[in-house]
Amino acid sequence: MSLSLNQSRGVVYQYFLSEGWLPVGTTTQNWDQVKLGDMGIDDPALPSDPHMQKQRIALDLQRFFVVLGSSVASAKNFLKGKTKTLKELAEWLHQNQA
Amino acid sequence: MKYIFFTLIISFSLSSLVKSQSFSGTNDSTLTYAFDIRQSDNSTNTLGLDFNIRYDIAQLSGPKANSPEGNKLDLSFALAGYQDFVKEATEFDFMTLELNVLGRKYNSKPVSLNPVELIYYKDLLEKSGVDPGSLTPTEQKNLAAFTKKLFNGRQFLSYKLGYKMESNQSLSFNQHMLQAGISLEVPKLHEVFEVFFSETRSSDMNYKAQPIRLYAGLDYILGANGAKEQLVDSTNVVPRARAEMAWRTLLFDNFELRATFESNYFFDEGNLTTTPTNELINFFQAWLVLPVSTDKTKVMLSYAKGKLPPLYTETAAGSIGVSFAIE
Repeated sequence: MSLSLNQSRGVVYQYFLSEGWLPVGTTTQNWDQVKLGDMGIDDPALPSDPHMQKQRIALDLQRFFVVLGSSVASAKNFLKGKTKTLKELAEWLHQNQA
Repeated sequence: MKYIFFTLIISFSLSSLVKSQSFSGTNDSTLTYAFDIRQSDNSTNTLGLDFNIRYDIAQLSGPKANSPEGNKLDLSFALAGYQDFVKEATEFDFMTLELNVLGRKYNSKPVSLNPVELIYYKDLLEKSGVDPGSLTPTEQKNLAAFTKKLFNGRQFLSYKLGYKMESNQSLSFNQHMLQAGISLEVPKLHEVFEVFFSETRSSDMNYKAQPIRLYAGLDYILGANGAKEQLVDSTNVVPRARAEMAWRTLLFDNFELRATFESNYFFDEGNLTTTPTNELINFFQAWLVLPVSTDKTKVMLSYAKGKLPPLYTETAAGSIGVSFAIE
């Protein structure tokens, strides 16, 4: 059963909060405007595997959805977009459920 | 030649232009590219263009497309490099071309929710999605514990097998190799460093340092073409071990400290036609990033020392720069 858009937003917020990715100054009001490039994912890059953390985060998000009874495509490539926001990530996940 | 110099520069850090393109109506194949104008890793007084173009074909094999568990394989083609704007500074230019099968392994502990729990957590996530601040302290605590439980004991490993060419931009020097390697996040090790760095942060800072990332690989250099810079005899195979590390943390609540370390080791110096000989060849780089305003303008202090492939030109350089993003 697919998650609603708000549930997808809840997954994104809880995941990045729990894993310690939200940058200094993030609040419950502005969290969805945080840009992916501001969270320091794969920064600095590991030269021979520059997208390792994006891969792992995409898998974690897939697992979150599976445990909640849904399934979603890998967001690895979406996570490469540094100017994308967490709001857009939640919308992408919501739209890319199986 | 060893040299150390410090310079003050203004460098443009153009935000990466990343384009994800889906082909054939699926999300399986993606073209991404990124361009940055930055200093050379080896010199602080020259600027150049950093480029990274990748084409990934996802999921050559594996179980259900949307299942994170188990092993999966992707195919990746990548072209990356650095071209200095100063024509004479060609010793800092490099280019790599790679064709790899990329694999990953992901395992996590089973978590099953009964129908009541499922409805409860979905309701909490719905509420959190509307406004995380509307959750009661008990709800926040329960949701945090649930999220933490999902990823406790998670195992993740990335690996690759493929072909790589390292060269300068003119291709006058190039070497070809088969490569294999694994990368992972090392658990607990960063906590040793954090014993010190966490003391610099406010006690109410909710900062969680990320694990140190590590790559270990083995390259079989099949041969090289070039003039005096030629590293290996073109008729010999030279095994080369590589280790890389990347890490970042936060100091004094606002200052980012980033560091990378690379080490190369050639097993058989008898096949090397020039230096390096049979020794560890290291490259270390660290950045201290200081925010100066809320619009992403930052002052960056960096220091680099060591040698990088393919030419292993030795350097030691520090720099001070101002970075701002253009989006």
